[in-house]
This record gives sequence, structure tokens and C-alpha cells, in this order.
Amino acid sequence: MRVIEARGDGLANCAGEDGATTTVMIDLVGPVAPGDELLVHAGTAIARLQEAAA
Amino acid sequence: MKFVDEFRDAELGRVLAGEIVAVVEPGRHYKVMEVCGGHTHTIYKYGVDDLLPENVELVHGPGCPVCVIPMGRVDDGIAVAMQPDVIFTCFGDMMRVPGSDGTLLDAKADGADIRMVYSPLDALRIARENPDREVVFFAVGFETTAPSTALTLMRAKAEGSSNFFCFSNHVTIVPPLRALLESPDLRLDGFIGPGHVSTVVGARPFEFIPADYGKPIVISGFEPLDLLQSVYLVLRQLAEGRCEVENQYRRVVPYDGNPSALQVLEEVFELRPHFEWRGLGFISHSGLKLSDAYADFDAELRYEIPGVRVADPKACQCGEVLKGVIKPWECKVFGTACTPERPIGTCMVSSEGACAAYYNFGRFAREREVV
Amino acid sequence: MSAIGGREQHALDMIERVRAKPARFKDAQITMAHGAGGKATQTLVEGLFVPAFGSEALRQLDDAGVVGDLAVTTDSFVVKPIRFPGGSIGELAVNGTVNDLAVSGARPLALTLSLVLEEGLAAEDLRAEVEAIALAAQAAGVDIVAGDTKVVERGRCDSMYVTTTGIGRLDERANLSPSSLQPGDRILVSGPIGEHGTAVMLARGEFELDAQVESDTRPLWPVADALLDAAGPALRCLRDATRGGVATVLNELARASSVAVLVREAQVPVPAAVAGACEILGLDPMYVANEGTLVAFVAPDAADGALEALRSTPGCEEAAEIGEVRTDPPGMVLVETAFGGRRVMDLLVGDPLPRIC
Repeated sequence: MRVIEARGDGLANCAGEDGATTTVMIDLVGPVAPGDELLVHAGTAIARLQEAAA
Repeated sequence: MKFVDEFRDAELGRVLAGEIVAVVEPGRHYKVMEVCGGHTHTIYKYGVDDLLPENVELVHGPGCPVCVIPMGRVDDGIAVAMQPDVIFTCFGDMMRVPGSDGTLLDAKADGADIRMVYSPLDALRIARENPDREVVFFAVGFETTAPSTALTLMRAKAEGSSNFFCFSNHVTIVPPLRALLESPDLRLDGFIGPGHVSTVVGARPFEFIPADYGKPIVISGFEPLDLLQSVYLVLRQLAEGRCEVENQYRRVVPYDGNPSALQVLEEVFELRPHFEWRGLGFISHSGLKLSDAYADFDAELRYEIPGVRVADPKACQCGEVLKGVIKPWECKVFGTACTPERPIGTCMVSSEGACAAYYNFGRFAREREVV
Repeated sequence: MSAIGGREQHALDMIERVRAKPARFKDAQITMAHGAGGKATQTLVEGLFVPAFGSEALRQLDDAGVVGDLAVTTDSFVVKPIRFPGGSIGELAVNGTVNDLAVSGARPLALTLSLVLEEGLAAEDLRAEVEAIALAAQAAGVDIVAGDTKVVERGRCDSMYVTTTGIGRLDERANLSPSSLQPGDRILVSGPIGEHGTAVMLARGEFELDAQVESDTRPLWPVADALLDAAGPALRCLRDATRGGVATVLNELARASSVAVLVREAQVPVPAAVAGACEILGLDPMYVANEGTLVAFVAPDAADGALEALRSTPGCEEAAEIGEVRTDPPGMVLVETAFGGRRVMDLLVGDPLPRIC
């Protein structure tokens, strides 16, 4: 999911590929900025996504 | 930029399918286990196995976390849910898993206040919104989901919550794999390793599979192309006589996992001496309970829990199906005592389990072979 | 290819025997699954109601029963919350019932309206729903000709339950039957799928999840009318893809006609926001409810004309051909995935539940 806004307090508003938004705990991936892509599982970001090599 | 669509490309899929055909020996039958329930879902959703040659068989592994919860634990959960002041929360797919006397859905019909959540954070929010009730989160999942539970408990502790409790059924992935590999009648050639679990634990914990048991494992992503490529990589290792941990999901999985996640797991949980798995029996050090620091949040301490072990019916042969020793239809209870409507074992509980899939679609598979 | 051994054949035969048996209702109590439109609902209808009432009209298991040249149908509406993006319970109660008539090939004429109200319901909420009912009835071209009101104690129902019964006149052009599907028939949907169920689920606010999705609730008689005009007797069957979604409709008809149904996933119109919300929640949009989208089965010669007629009907611009009817394997729905594989799309055992693994 893509970060829309880091809210502080370890939470961020994130959007799925088609615009659905949800709250995500980001404690495990460090500070995030809008536009970062995260792998989210059960409401927690467990990894950052690197854009894949073609 | 789209991260997802490029990995679903059908054209590339056909190319990979061709490479798989080129790397297998025609006369040999290959059995490759995908460990993770998420992989099983992708395979099913996109029909990935339909693109494989006849002699490459995917065996669905023990990695569906709700399906492996044994009947006794479901009964315990229902006992907690039936307490008068409790709001019981769990993931949606947990609600259909049978205990010895019905499912959580049945308990809901009996009047229990059971609510479906999408994240443990939702459960904590319900606790905040209902200060005069006690909210229990029935936690299930591997190392993928456990960090979410752990972070939520840390939040609950930080905000001084006194009405939020966790009933932990979290499990770890390595012990059941080792248990499978220990069995002398195992009929598997290699493994597709769990991508999301590995983002947390890394690839390193799987090194014992090639080192001690001589089987290749490829950590895989969750798009259909990821899976095809991972099958290809396992088969290529076999063809070249290699045997190692390969990381197909390098774009997400660091070799050493996510240290912050491992640290929160360490703080909030501790290993149980043993934990029971549906269809697989007791496995040492395979379950997580809340650590002493979080004892105040432990539903197992807060409520009287029957804790009665309900034996899997003797005739249930999920273990053998998982090991690839027998086919679903060879199990003694398949289709009689154990059906998708009234499942007994883990392989029938999930609609994507080997037995449920065979029950529902076996006829279709047969037609495909005839065609 | 590997021959099928005696024991496997035995197991497969046993499954077939179980499947072929009439559904039996054996459960000790009613669970939410009995209302979800999947297998449990089927056992309730086919195992309890049909044997008990046994009328020929009921045996057809159509969306409406036929009495002379009239079609009659009834439906109760329970939805939480009663208002959601794109609609409300009142609008739904009108459209749901007129749509059951429309897909039976009957022009809706009149409705009765029965309300069960919860003690404490705000008058302005009731007024708003009554207005919604009046507007929807006007839009659908039906009169409300009789009604009833009951009030129950607070906590005995969620705000309000609405039951509507509809009567319609069978259209001369229509010769629709769920058992009339023929191999080669084309399958059309009248618009994007999955909107209503997704909108309601999100409106409940149980999940920390937000997406721009509105219910598709709308009257379908103009759609049925356009299809009957374009295809006439070549129109084999229409179904309103409500509870259980498009997947359930396809399974029911594959069974009723003893044919196979092939769906081409890439051609199914799923709005991006629906796909996104469903992906996050682990749901398949094919099983999510619609309230203004029908599935049409059309003989091959008339299919292109029918699709054109659909697309020129207001609200159906995104209508699409999603698959076709095949011979084998009878009673099953196959999906050709966008990735090029194939899988079986079965009836749901119970409610669609979000998955975690």
C-alpha cells in the first residue's frame, strides 16, 4: 500500500492500489513519507517495497 | 507505476511455463510443497497449477494459520466468547473453523457477541469504544501476523487499557516444517518458502532444509508470476543437482528479516513448550504465548478456559496428505465423516485445502486429464 | 493419462451421489450462513420450504412465481446501516422487488409495503425512508397499493425492516427459464459488479477502511425491456445478481440447465475501488452483492445485438460479455483467469468472510 500521510504516533493513512484507504501501524518500517510503498499485513506494515527490476 | 499488474502478466507466465517444461525430466514426477496459505490462494485464484506440466504437482502445505487451530482451542475460544461481558473479536475466516461442538459462527447464533476484525488494531478500537465491556482478540497467524498483535498489545499497554485481552494462538513456521521433514515417509522434492513470513524472520531460518534434509527451498512472492518463477527455480535446482535457499522475493525479503519486528515479538511473546496443530499433533516450541510482561492482557489467564484437548478423529489423515504420502481420496474419512460442510481436518477446513479442493473440483481435474 | 483407480473412482462416485441428492436441511439452528445465499440457503429452500409448500410455481425456484399471466414476488430487507453511499433501505426495498419481477420477464405494476419499526426510531429517519420509497416507486413506475406497520421493542430490530411484495404482468416477448441454457449461449452483465455489497460493508465502519464506492441500487425493468426488445425469444434467462453475487447466479443456472459456464475474468467489469477494497479484505467481487445489476444469458446469434441494446440503456454503459455456456463439466462454473489459468468457481458454503491467510 502507498503512504498518503504519516499521522505520528506510529500510524499512517495508506491507500491500496485502487484508492481504498486504511490505517496502518508503521512501527516496524521506520519513518515513512507520502508515496512510500509498504507491504501491509493485518494492519501492520512489515516491509518496504523496492520497485522490482524489469 | 504499478507494483502489482506487472507481476500478473499472462504473456510472461506462458514463457515461464515453457521454461518449466524445459527443465523437468519427462519421466519423473515432482512434488513441490508451497508452505504458505497465501501462496495456495494465489495458485487457486489465478489457476497457476493449470499452467504446470502434468508431472509437476503442487502440494498445499500447513501454512493456513486458521486451518491449523485444533478443535480444543476453538472450544476454548467459544467458552471465552460466551462470557456475558465479553466482546470476542477475530479474523473473518476463523469464524468457520469447527470446534468439537460447532464454530464461532454457531456461537454467535447462540448469542455470543462475536465481531469480525481486519486488524488487531480494530479490536483495540472496539475496546476503547466499549469501556464497560471486555474485548478479547483471538489472535491467529504465523510470524507475519504476530507482529501486528504484538504492536497492538504494546499500544494497549502504553495507553493503560484495562479491558483489552489477547487469546494467542500464534504459531511459528519452522517447527511444523521440521516435523514434516522428520517423517520418514515424506514424498516431497522441494519447497516454496513463505514470502511474508520471511519478510519478518528472513531467509536464514530455512537454511536447515537444504543443509539437514537435502531439499531445495525458494522463498517466493505472492503474484502468480512469482510463484511460477519459484517453481522453476526449485526445479532448476533439482535439475542441476543443487540444493540451497534461494530468495525469489528479494524485492521485499531481506536475508535477515525485519529486526524491529523480531524485537517486538521477543518482547511481547514467548515460546510455549508445545502447541497442538490440527491434523499434525503436538509440535514442540511451535506456539507463542504472551510474555510475563504482558500477562495482564493474557485472556488465558483472565478467563477460566476449559483447556480440554479434543483429539482429532483417529481416522483423520491430514498429516499424510500434507506429506504427500496419500491423496485426499485415500483418507479414511474423506467424503464421509469429513466434508466441506462438516470438516474435520485442516485440509478440509479451508476451501483451498487439498481435500476441500479435491472434493469440490476433483471431477473437473479428472475431465482435464481426459481432455 | 493416468487411469483412475478403483478407489479414487469410488470416492468420486460417492461425492457425485451426495451432490445429486436433494438438499436436506439438517442443521440444529439457523446461523447467518442460512441467509447468505450460498449452500446453507440452498439446503433451507430446497430441503425445507419447497417440500413443505410444494407448489409448482415454487418448485421452479425462480425469482418470482407465476399465477396466470401475473408474476408475484416478495422480499424482506434488513440492512445495517439503513443508509449507505448510493442508497438506503427504502430505495432498496422497492428496487429489490421490482427487479425480481423484471428478471422474471414481468413489467412491475404494484407493490405492497410492510414495515417493522424499532421503538425509538427517529421520526425524521422514518420520514426520509418513506420519501425514498415514494421516489423509488415513482422511478420504477409502480404504485404502493397496500401496507402494514408493526412496532417492536427497542433492541428487537435494527431501526427498521421492510418487506415488499410485488406484482407484475408477464411480458409477451419473454420466454425465460433457468433450465433453458444451451451450449454456445453468451453471458452478459448489465454493469460493473460488487458495488452494493462493498458500499454497505464499508458503511458499517467495522473496518478501518475507506473507499469511494456507491451502491448500484436501481430499477432493472428498463434494462430487461431493452433486452427483450433486442433479443426476444433468444433471451434465455435473466437473473438479478443480488446476495451471493454473480458467482452464485452462474452456479445456480449451471445446475438448473446441467451445463458448464465459462467466465473470462479479464472481461468482468469490476470498478477499481471495489477491486481495491475487496483485495484488502480478502473478498472476491464475484461473490459480492449487487442491487441493480443483472446477468443475461442470450443465444449466440442475438448476443451482439443484446449487448448493444444494454449499452445504450442509461446506467448500463459498462455492460459486458463475460463468458459463455459450454457442455462439460455440467453443473460447474469455470473461470479463465486473467493470468491464463483456469479454476472452478463454486457456490459459497456460507457468508463471504474476509480472509487473513
